[in-house]
Amino acid sequence: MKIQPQHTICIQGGHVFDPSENLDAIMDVYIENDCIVALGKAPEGFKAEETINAKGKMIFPGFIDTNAFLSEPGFTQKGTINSETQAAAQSGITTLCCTPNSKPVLDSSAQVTLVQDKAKQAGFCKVLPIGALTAGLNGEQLSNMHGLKEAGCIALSNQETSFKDGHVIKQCYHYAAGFGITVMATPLDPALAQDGCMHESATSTQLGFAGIGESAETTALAQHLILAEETGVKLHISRVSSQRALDMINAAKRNGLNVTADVALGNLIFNAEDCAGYNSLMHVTPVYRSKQDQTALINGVNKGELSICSNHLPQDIASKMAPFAASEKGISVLDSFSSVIFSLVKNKQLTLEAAIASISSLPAKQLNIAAGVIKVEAAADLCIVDLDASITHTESNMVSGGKNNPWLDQPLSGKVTHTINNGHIVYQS
Amino acid sequence: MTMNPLDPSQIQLTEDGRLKHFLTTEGLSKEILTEILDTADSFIGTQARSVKTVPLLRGKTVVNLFFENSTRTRSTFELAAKRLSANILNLDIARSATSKGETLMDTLWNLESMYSDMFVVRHADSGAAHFIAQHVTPNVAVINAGDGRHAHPTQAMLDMLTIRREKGSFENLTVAIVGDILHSRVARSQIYALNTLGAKEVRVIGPNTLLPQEIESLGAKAYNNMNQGLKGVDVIIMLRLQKERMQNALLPSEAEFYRLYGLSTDKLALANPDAIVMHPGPINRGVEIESAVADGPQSVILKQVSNGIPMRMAVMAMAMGGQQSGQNKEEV
Repeated sequence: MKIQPQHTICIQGGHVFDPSENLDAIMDVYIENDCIVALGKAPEGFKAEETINAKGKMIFPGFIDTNAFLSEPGFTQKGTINSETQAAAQSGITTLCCTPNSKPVLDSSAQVTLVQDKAKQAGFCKVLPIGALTAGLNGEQLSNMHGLKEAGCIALSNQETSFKDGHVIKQCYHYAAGFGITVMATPLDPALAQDGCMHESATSTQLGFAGIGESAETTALAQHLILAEETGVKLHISRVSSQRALDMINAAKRNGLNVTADVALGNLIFNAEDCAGYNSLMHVTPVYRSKQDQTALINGVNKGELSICSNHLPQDIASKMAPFAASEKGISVLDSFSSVIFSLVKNKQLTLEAAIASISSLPAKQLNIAAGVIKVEAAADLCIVDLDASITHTESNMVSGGKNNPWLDQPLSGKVTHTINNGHIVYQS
Repeated sequence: MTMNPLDPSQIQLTEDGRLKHFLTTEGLSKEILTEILDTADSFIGTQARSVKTVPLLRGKTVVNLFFENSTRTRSTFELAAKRLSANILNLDIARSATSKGETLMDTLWNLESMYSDMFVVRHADSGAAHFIAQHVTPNVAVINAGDGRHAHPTQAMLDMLTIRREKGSFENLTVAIVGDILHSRVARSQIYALNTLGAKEVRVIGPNTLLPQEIESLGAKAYNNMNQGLKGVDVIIMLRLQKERMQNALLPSEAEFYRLYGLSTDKLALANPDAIVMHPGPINRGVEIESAVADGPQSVILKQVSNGIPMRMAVMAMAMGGQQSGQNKEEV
């Protein structure tokens, strides 16, 4: 899609809501080129080339997703940078951190630049790559961390692949700390996880699966926290799945450790019992844990302890057409991302303040991203949402290449009507 | 905002509650399980005749789809199908198509193109039979011959048949299942069937490392101590211990396992005097059971084997009947 050059936009009559700026009122928003130039009252001489009527709608900061798989390069049968960032834009996302586990892996500045170029060409949202922490994600050899940072990686991660041993983790963190590089980790002890494919629980016993106990996450987390403390690296725990892990992160923070964390949207919605019936859409990583964990993670978002990421992982049909454990992991989230979050608000599970912060100002602060805020002179990254409208995604109206969306054919509340990225309207319903 | 979980009991029943697939004993009513037992009982009579075949599945094609090697179970299904007058095709998939990269779905679609009427499926993945039942064209029945650690319902039902023929009914029975519960699809299917059929108490006995998480939620009392677990028991079901279990830090040694959980004459004496001893086979003498017990007067292990064929005939006949009733309805 080609972006039409737009010079000035006035968004009229919308309810501007950004808890990080204490904005919660009906006011007009004035945009010039890629910037917000005024809130409330038009700057002198402002002449809007385009006017959006936002009466009855909310205006939020453009959303930030800290973890999404874009399928490209290497897996274009599942989706492309163009299709997946377009799906993100439809959810009001203007900044997206893509994961390094493409093929080839994002472990060189050339690959990182390629992804950025394709994202720019698509023009739907800003893509901030997460680089590989080890070469080829092999878990053994340090990647060219400094080069990756210079190429624009927002953080480095080993994604789901495990490290050879604790020494490698320590050395990675040690090296990264020296250059102020943020590392992301999704702790999981591979020996404890074994060949498990879901949370160890009554349901795993009933279905006849080896389970992944909470200790597979928490024992590994303890190692990452201790090594982060020892090396002084800035650590972001990606996709916390259990209450105990969240408690450990909070305790580490109280002790002064510079650690932050997010949770995958699916882990707020589903729990292990949803695996009953062998629904391969429930085959994900990190696994959906107990109802108690699910509730604790929702509370963590409400308390501002966790940002929410999509953990988007589009799959082609053949990858999911297999018995549960043999199916590929993951769900396609981006199309439904914000509507699912608004539904949590509507069901009174999340407050609107916490929901919006968890996908804008909080991840921006966690990863030091200059975005996620509505204020004069900030980038004009905005989305306009009709919270009362409902939206239903179907296989045919979904934009993502992966139709493995667990919310298909279910009405969700809250519909993004416009997404503005750097002052350009990139999506309009 | 949850998805529609596919109720395992619903997928195997027709709209009017008849069996059309047989995937698990979980969720099936006492009436259905009893009907299966009664049907199998009626076939036992035909097995002693010189002409053992009945024409119930004449003209039907049954495909034995074994993704995991199994000579015994496959042979009993083959014999059962033949005695129902069906045409039978044995496919040893473990060594053919899937090793060439063909997906499970491709294999299925190929077989459907040959107008098969029934798939008997064994697969190493839990839920595989379930998956196949969801994706086959209507009118093809799926019989689960063992999926991963999940279920082995025909084995469990032939065990139920054996128990009923020996004990008359289930009402006052205490049943102990002993050994490697963790990896056992048979144990899971037995626990559901026994509870539904009204057994007084179901116990599972084994070391913690061989008992799955929250096993009691399935309806079984867990014991680590076999001497306590066998007290007052009417039926003892021993499970086979795979030798590779010593390697994954599950057990210290065969010797210690036998000492703690092997069914010896001494331990058998702790159960009720008329207790019966069962084993789904093949047995490991001296690993989980003493020879004197396996061959002793309380053992019904060989009766289980004979009951295997009528039980498989029963579920095949019933599932095909359920499929046909659905078909007839569509034609009307």
